Amino acid sequence: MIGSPDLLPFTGSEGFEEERAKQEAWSLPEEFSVPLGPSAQPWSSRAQFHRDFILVAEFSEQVGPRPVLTIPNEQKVIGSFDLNHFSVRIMSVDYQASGPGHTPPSSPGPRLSFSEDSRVMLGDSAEDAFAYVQHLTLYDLEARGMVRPFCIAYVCSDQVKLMENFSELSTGFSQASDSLKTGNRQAFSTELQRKLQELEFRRLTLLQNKELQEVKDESAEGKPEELDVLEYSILNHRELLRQVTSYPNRKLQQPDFLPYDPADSLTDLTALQPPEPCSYLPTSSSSSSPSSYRSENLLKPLEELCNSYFFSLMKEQLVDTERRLRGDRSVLRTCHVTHSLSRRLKLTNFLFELWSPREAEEEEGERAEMEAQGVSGSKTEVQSERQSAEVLISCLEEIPIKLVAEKADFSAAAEMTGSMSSGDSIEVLGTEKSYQTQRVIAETSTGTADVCVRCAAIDAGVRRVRDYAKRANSEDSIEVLSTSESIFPDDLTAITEEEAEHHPLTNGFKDEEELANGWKSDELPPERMKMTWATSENERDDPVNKGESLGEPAADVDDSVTKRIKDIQEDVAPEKAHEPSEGVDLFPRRLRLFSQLHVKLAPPTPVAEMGRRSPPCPPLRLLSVDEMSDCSSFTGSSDTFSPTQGNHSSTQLGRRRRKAGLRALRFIKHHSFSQHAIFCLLSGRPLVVVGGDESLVRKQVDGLSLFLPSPGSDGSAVMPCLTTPLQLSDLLTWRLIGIQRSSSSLSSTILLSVTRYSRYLALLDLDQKTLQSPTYSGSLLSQLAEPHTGFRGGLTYLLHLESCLAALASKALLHTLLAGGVGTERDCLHAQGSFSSECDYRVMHHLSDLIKQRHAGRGPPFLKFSYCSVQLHKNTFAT
Amino acid sequence: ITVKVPGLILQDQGKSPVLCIGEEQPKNCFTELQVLKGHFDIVRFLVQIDDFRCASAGDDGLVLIWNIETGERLQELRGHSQQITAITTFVCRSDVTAHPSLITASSDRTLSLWDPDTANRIQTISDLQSSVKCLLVLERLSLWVSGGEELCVWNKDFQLQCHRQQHSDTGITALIELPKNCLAAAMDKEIVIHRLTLSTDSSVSVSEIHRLSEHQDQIRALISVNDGLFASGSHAGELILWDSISWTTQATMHILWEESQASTQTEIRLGAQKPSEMSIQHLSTNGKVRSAEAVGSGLYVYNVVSRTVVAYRKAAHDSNVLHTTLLSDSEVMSCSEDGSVRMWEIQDLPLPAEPASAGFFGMWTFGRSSKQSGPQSKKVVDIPNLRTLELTGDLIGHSGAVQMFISFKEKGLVTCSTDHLLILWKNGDTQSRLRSLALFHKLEENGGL
Repeated sequence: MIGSPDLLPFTGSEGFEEERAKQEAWSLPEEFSVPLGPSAQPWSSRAQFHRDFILVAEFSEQVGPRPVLTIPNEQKVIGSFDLNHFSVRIMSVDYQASGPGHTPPSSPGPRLSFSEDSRVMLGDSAEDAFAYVQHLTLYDLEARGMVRPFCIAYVCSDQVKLMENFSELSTGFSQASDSLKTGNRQAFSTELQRKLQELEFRRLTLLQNKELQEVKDESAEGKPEELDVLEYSILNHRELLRQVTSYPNRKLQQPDFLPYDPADSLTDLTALQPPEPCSYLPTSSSSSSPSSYRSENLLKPLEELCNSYFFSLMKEQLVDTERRLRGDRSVLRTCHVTHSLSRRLKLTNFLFELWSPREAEEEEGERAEMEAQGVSGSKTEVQSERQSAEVLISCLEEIPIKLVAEKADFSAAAEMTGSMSSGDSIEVLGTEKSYQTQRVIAETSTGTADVCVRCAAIDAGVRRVRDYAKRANSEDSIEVLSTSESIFPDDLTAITEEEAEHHPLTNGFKDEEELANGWKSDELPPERMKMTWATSENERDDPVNKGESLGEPAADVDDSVTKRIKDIQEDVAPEKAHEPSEGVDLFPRRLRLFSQLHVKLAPPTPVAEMGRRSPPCPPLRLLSVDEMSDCSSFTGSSDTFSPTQGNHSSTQLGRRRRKAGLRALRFIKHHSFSQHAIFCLLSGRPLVVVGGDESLVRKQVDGLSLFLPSPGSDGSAVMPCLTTPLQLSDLLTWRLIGIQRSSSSLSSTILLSVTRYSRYLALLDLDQKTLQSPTYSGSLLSQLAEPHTGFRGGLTYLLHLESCLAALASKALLHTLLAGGVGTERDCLHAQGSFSSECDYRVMHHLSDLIKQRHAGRGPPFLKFSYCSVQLHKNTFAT
Repeated sequence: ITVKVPGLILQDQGKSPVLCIGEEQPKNCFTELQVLKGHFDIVRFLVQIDDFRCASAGDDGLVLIWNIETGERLQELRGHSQQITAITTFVCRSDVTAHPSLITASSDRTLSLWDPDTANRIQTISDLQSSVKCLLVLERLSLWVSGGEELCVWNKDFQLQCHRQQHSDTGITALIELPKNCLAAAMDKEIVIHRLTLSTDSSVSVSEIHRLSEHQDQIRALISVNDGLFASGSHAGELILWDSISWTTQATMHILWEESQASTQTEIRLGAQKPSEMSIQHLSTNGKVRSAEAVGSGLYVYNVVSRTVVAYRKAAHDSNVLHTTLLSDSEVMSCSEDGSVRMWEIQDLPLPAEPASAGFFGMWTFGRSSKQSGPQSKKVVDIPNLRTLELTGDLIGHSGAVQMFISFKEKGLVTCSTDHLLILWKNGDTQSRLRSLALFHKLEENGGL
């Protein structure tokens, strides 16, 4: 039932790559070969959705898995993709397995288990739909077992993209999941409190009735029982309430944890939510028992399961994650590379808006942290491995999501089996259950091993990061590509020592708390997460593993687990034993792996950079190819984003810049004097844009702002619309100013003030299509602003512009370092032949001045100007 | 000795258009500016403290100390509740060091001594009869003098040595030091000469010894040209050059008006002008040969030795000139109510010399009586070396009248204005080099990039 037809073609005794090579060489008939990966055209995809999106799904106990929420919630994104079907698939994973060493609760009564989320990579290669899925459970008093399983999935047509951005996804989803769960705990405690009140009231009524009855001296044999049940129920609810309200304590140490005040919750939420009619009858044996579940009642929607604040917070976080991961791999990677490189150029990176200082602060803090850890040289490796080992432990400490009441055990187990038996074939590569077992075996079988050997083993595992294989596809298969819990046995051997301290997993609630505090997986740097993930991923790709697992393809779950254990036993021993001696066998494989690494990992450094960023939050994201299509026309797409999303300034930046790029391109193409205007901006002469139409002025300012060096952290050097008369000090603050020309007296005052300072300004009149500015002559700007450029798309031009500006910035740095301090810098530069004209020299000089002022300047800002003649340039281009 | 030429009326643009230099100013080296904010009312005074600091004071009662090398505000001297009326530096000389401090006078009738390093108010005198309008430090005697409705002499410890009540509506508006422990104080239309007597027990007394009443109108400017001469200028455009020791008139000049249409009498035309148009606003001297003066909106350079006008510009600014300085033998700078600062160069006239210009002003050697005789003014024609003031650059930035400026030579120029701002003008190339050095220094300190 849980067979894995997908894996069959690859599970030969030899490596996958060779397999492919053979297939290519022999060119098997179509029916025998399995299509490998996407077709040659890299932009084509079988995916039925048009863009990556985030899906929140629930395993509803009434209707089964169903989609709850998509982000973005647009039909054009999702296309014809069958969300229902996909929900079934991603919710059909065994995310609820319970560990074997789970001790019964010390105190009687119901018990809530606060579990960590499970993270799974799933794939459906038939539809080119891959997903990173994070399963979580929410509490609902009315649900079976008081638990509602949900999952958040990032659905993507590119499996590699998921893997490359795993850490980012994991961080983003963990945040969102934490918000959701926090809000849910609050809502749940409110619900409990209300329920308690209700029960108390009922009890009081019963007691009164009883007194009455006693007075009447009537026999009422049923009543005392009812009272007992009620009191028991009250006790249970109190216990639940205590548990749910005491939960925040264990989380408080985390800086980003948002506690809520349980005292407030009652007043808050009772006011918000309409009081429900009392639906519980005192006759039910126990409300916490599954028997109280009544299917005729519709369960609450997700919105009601969670405090509205946290619900919107969660949505915002998901939207943010989705935006940051927009675009295909190359776009994302280019961004990462650009950022990681520009971040290092401390001297010049402020010149053109390629990064944001906010990000820098984060990174500074992080770097300080890294330095504090004292990672250097060879130590780094060992330490990171140690860290990754810690991750492994944390994986083991997952606590099953289950209500552990005496009566609940049976039904929970039943539910689990239910989830297993969904129609499609599933391959579950690793669950907690299996690894709990595996670990024990690994421990016993290997015992203590030499540290060096262990490190080598892990090292090998880590290096095989990219050695994933394209899975073949079959109609109805879901592949579990990896889970955070799947652990390579080699790694397990390395952690036996650490493990020993933490082994007693769930002795009681207190211990649990401590453990969670000590080892919470999402606290760890993403890099480490990635390593773990990569390591575990490796397991599946290990040909030896595959070769052995091929033996019993039709194993069911239990069989496969036991078989796997067998595999591991076999696997671990040879690995250990042969590592030093089995050079002949191992080497070719390793070599091949390394050669793949070089191909797939280029460039290696940025990837490492990517991994190190925490939380990964690049502000500048470009958009995917399909989105770019709408900007290649000059009409300019209207803003489809709702204003509520506008507060994500960092993610908005990419879109803003793309539009600005388009506007800049239009300016260059449509105005003969564009170079003069750009020269003014680059040489530090403030540019004033005047026009009758305010939106046009703003757009023009927006476009020109790309050329403005050192625009400030939030564009503080740009004034899109000036509403007060210009003053001299304004010219020191703003170097790009928009003014709306109108008939009002204020407008004429402003324009008058502009003419007063005309010496320091350049004036671009949009209505007259004229520019009053010094004339530019030189070669520096010819590439930057070529009026007859072939660029047509805003994004393409933006990229070109960015590279030109980056080149300019590095030239300026060279200029600063070469010419500074030398008396005759001008001669020096002319001797170099860098700048053919005085104008080019002025641009360099200005940029160089900005660099100097930023790094060694004191006092208020300065305005540098020159006394040169100003011409009135008219637009000679027909528009 | 100064030469005065009546300034042209602003509205009279047709005849004598206001100068406009255009945007190309190759000789203007001020290519960088910094705006120094801090005052919230008119800034009227600037004082140089040492070679990199200056103090500014104004109607908000604040005194701010600036580092003109960086533009940073170093100190803020708070204490006066009303506008500052006079400010001067006072060097406290100990045996080894000379420590500069500041004396300020305010309309709140207080005098204060400040330490510009710490912003401490060292001394305060608050129970004055009237507000002080001018201050004069007599470094030689370690004394200082305040002038207002009364003349007070103080020692360096802020102890009143003696005072003398003046009987005048306006009080003392200007004070200069003369040789032989004498002081000249300008009061309305008169210059009063006082003598300080230092007795053996180091007590000081002051006595009035002479009054000079040659001016017909209120005296606006009083400067000491050199050890032997001092000059005064009046609201009516008279300029008199005095001998410092004998207090006799050396030369007198009076502005005449350009005879434009009908040849009416000078006196009549004079009456037709706005008073300020011919008023001598400011006098300055380089202490040697020349003195510059601001008359109305015009600007004149006078050679004290030859008693002749060297060069003039009758419409140097759009509005009244408030302050002038001779930067060097050939460079003059002026600032005006029109918000601009202009730089001039005294250049030889291209031949033929401007013959008609002689008619613009008259010159009388002695006494007002000769003023009636118009033809004498033709004397100017005889001056062979009349040169022109050529505009070499202007600084535009203030949105209000530029009250005063101080030049720190190659380090820059500070201007203050009614728009509450100070502007620091610098040579951009020099600054760029300095910043380069600073950057290299910093990189060296940090050990690399």
